[in-house]
Amino acid sequence: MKCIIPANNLRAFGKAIHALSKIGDELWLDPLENGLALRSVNSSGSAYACFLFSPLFFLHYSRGNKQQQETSEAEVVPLNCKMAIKYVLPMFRCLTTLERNVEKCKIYVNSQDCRVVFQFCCKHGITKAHHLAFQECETLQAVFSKQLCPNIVRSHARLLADVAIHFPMSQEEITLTVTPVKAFFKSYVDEDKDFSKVMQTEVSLKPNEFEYLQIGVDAEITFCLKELRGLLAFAESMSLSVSAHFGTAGKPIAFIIDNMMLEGIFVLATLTDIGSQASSQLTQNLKTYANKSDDQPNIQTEDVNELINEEINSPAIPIVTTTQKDGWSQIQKRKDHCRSPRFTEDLNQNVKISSVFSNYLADGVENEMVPGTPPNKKLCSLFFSAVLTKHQKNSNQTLVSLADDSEEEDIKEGKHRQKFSEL
Amino acid sequence: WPDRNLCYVRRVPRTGLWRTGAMLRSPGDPGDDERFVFVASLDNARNLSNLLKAIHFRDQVTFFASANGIRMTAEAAKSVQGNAFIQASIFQEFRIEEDSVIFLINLTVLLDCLTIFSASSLPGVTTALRMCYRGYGYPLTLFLEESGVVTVCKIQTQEPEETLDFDFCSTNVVNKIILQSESLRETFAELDMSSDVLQITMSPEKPYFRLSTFGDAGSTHCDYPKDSDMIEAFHCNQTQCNKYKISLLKPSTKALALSSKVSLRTDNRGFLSLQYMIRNEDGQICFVEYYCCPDEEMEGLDS
Repeated sequence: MKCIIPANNLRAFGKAIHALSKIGDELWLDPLENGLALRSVNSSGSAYACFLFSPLFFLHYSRGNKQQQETSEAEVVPLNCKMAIKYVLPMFRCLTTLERNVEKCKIYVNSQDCRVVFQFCCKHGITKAHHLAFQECETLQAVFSKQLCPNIVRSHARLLADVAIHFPMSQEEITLTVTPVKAFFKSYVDEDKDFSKVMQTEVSLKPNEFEYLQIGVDAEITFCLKELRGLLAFAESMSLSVSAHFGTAGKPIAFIIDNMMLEGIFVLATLTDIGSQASSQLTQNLKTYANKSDDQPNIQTEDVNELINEEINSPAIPIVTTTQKDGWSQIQKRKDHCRSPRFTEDLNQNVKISSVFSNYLADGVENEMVPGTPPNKKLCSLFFSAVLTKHQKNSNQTLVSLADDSEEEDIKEGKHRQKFSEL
Repeated sequence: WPDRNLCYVRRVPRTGLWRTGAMLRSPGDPGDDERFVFVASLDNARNLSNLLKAIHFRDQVTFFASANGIRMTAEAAKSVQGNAFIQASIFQEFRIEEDSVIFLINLTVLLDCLTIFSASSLPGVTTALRMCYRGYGYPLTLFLEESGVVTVCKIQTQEPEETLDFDFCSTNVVNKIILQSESLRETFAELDMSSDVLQITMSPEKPYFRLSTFGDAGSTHCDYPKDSDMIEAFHCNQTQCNKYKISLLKPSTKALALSSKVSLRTDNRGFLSLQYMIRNEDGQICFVEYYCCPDEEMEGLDS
């Protein structure tokens, strides 16, 4: 992989790195056909961020090809790698200095030495080259479909930044409540915290303050503000609009920005609303389903999709990772289902759903679920393997990207990655 | 000699009669002037204090005065030495009765006294300084005056210690580069401190002049082409690659920050001499010099 960033785009690149550093500890570098993707995910799998820089952003961009062998830097099959973001950040820490001194920045992978090289060509002929160690890894991608989101809110980054500024920097989560006629943000306070000792803030907005507002389902969702601030700072510096795509509580919310040269998406998990209508509906469906037959079911595509939908959009975001070498798709972050101890109550709810389901799959054998533990792993693999066999034929379903990823041909062609650009 | 560095301070409101250096009597000490073996006056104490900050990586420094001027020396780990030179012509008054005067003094205390009125530079406001020394065993007396207020400081002096002689002479210089400081400042400020060493490569061929670090993040190389407009003089005869302990060189960043030009020279043993040309507030030129031995463990190894 080799790319050259011109001086006037250095600020945007640097700001993207700053934004990603707010999410996770690692920076995933993924050279795609349609550009260079920089990604990060937090340790609990509840926040995922990706910036895709199109080839237009660069003076030069090449993924790397087995056929091309350059004398100075050997480029091989596109390499997915990850680095500790704390080593990348210092290079882009002072953006004003960077803009002042650097004429261009070349990034390339030196696979022989296992180094990613960031070479800054500065004024007066001076070059500064940083050789960072990397780890080869699987690609990282969140499973999320914006088409399935009933609600879309688009506003200029300035507006959201103005809202965010009212909340103290220590405020972890905020709740967004939307109906077609109103929208307000308020600080979210843990139940175990003493309300009288905590400052609560609420900011209301009129629908006409947004550039675009589509509310299919009234929603009250709670997500992490801290993780979002990175994207807001980026969008504001680039004067971009931010689109939020979301559903009801428990489903992830995605913040998307784009311009001609780059796209950014931040997917954040939202708290499941315990007393919500949707959850009880789901439990109902499962119970009905369980009663239908004692044998292995003929799993109906649509019903299962709905179940996957509910299951997936619980506090942890399903992240698909695929290794290039073997075609297995694993739901890597599934294991970190529990986002934080705060979520115990929510987890109980999910656990309850799972237990109903696992009872069913395990041929009626009672599966005692311990409240507060992650759902049965066996359940997950059983469930998805059952789904996979059925869905290999149905590649149109967006959610069936899970199944698609398991197909080796798709991986090699990079088909599954293009799902992102459709989001 | 007592271990403590005594500093006796007395403030006396007075008009600044002695600012021009014409004053013969110090306040409260009539007739003492003849007994001083060394007297030096400066209209602007910052012309001394700023320079001394460039070698302030140790508390104890050696004060050496001769007819040429003052030299203050700081050393660390028997491997690095910083020298600040203030020539006699910088002073408004400079008198020395002996061939040389030498003692050990606490630089932290000295700097605190020199900046007793304010640490920062306020435009138009200067502190006048008069330094007096009666000889072996006596403290260094400082009279500082600003806006009519006089402060008297007496700082204990100690038995001088032998300073290292790096035996660095121009005839043994192999490579020499003179650079404009501004281009080196950022590089030094951003040095990866997780690296043990700073490797300096000087060569008549590529990469010409390279500064490298090897830290937790990986390696970083900063290359200067010999025809860069930041390079004023490039005289490299032989490829040399030497490593120096980064902790020893990091203090030189202060000198770099003050300077307008810097010269780097290495001799046949790989010893490094850094000379910083510093312009003081009155536009006069002073020098600070650092000497550093190469890191023995790594000597001879290529990166």
